[in-house]
Amino acid sequence: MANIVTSACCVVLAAVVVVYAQRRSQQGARIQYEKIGSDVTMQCGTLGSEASVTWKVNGTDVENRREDDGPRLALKQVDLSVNGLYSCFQNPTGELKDQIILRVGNPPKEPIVTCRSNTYPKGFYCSWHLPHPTYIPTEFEVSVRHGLQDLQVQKDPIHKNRCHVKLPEIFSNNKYRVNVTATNALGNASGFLAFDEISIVKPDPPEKVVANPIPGNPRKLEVTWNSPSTWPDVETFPLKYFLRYRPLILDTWQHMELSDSTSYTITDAYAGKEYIIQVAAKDTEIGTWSDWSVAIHATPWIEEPKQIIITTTTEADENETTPSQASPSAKPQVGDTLGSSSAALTLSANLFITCIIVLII
Amino acid sequence: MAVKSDLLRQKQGLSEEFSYDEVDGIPSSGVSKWNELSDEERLRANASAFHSLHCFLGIVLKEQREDLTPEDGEFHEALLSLLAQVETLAESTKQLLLMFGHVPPSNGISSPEQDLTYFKKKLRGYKVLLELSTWALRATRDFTKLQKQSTRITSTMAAPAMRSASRQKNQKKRGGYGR
Repeated sequence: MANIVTSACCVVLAAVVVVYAQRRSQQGARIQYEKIGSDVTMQCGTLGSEASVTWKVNGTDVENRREDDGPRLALKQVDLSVNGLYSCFQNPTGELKDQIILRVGNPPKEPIVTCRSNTYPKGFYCSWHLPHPTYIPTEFEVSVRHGLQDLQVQKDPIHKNRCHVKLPEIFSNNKYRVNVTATNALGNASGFLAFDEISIVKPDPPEKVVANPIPGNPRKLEVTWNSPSTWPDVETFPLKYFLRYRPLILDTWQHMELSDSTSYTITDAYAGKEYIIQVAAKDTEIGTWSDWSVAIHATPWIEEPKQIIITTTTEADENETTPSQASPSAKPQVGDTLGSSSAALTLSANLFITCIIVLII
Repeated sequence: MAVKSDLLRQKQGLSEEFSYDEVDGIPSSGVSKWNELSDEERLRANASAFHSLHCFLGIVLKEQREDLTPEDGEFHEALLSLLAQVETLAESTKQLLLMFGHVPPSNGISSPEQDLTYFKKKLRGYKVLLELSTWALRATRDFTKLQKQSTRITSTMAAPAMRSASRQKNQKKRGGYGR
């Protein structure tokens, strides 16, 4: 027991030492950012042009290096594969002189900005993304202007590319202008979006969509839903809804637009068919329709099938059944195999089925 | 309506950055604590705005006829129809105010400037219609709120006012100012 503990301790200690050594070796390493496709020169510390150094990348020797480059390392038309930790050692002592973390990437291109208000009239949020990846750390600055006023912007706690703004006033004709500036070590770029208050309004989809069959009504389905919980004031800013439904087996949807009501009864459903149903929401006056709600499945009420009485027959009776009685008696036959003495019955059933097949063919 | 005003703005060479503060007396529909307005404040703001807009619209129609679009009879007809609706709206709102025992806004608004340059006339006409459309939207919301929280007296009187407001909105959507 003690031995295991000791050896475990040793392993852990060794690991800690390795990590510490690695960290130490990277301490004092500086990061050098370079553009993809460019020619890069790395300088070994403050050594003069007469110095002779050896370069290693991630611990392995650098290939194809010119001998007369002095304290420099030149790389041509770099791509992402040159990323790594470069170390230079002075010749002939082998002393470590400098360490550079090379990161290759691109300056940002104009960010693409979109904004939406799903909490009208409280506020809106904006998202942005870069059309091309930069591969290196990039920061974003957002500013929002409304007429002549600068608005306060709240960064989203989770999404790095999103921010929230409170609407300072409503029914305004002044446009909003959202500016996003992306910056990294290789450059910066700005993109913007200008919009009217009402054009970005788009609620979240309705919630808790439920469809229930109605007993006694084989062609009806009762659908109910809730307004989206993110919409702050459905009393003063009522929503209208759009319902679509179709049987699973068909491709075309049926549509129904509803004002100010969170329930609807479908009355023309095909009996016994499973339906797929979705609902969308929109402010009654402004903005655009929400995305469709999660699709729900429902089947209208089906009448209970009438009881079929199965009479049990003996082996002898079964052997005498003629082909013409095949269909009607098929079911009771199958039912019988469950009850009686197995072997002989199974055999006669098989013979029987073979006869049928032969006859059909 | 927003699409039509954008079209107009582009055609008349107006930049997107324009600030629509109440520079020349045209009532501005933007409001910061709309939710906290009292019933009286709501009605009064609407009554005052529509009265003022009615006045401005009259002048816009006159300028269109005499100076800016003298040939466009169809357009003038549309503006005339709009004018009538705004008048109804202004009156209905004023009546509501009186019904509730509030004092209606004084009609003594300084008359709008008449001798503007050609460009300024165009600009003002655009602004009047823009504010009219957002006021109509605001009125719809105001009356919805009033209807829901007030007595049936409001319902009886608010209904025609609301209908007028939404009819007016739809009229503009169909191209009251589609140049």
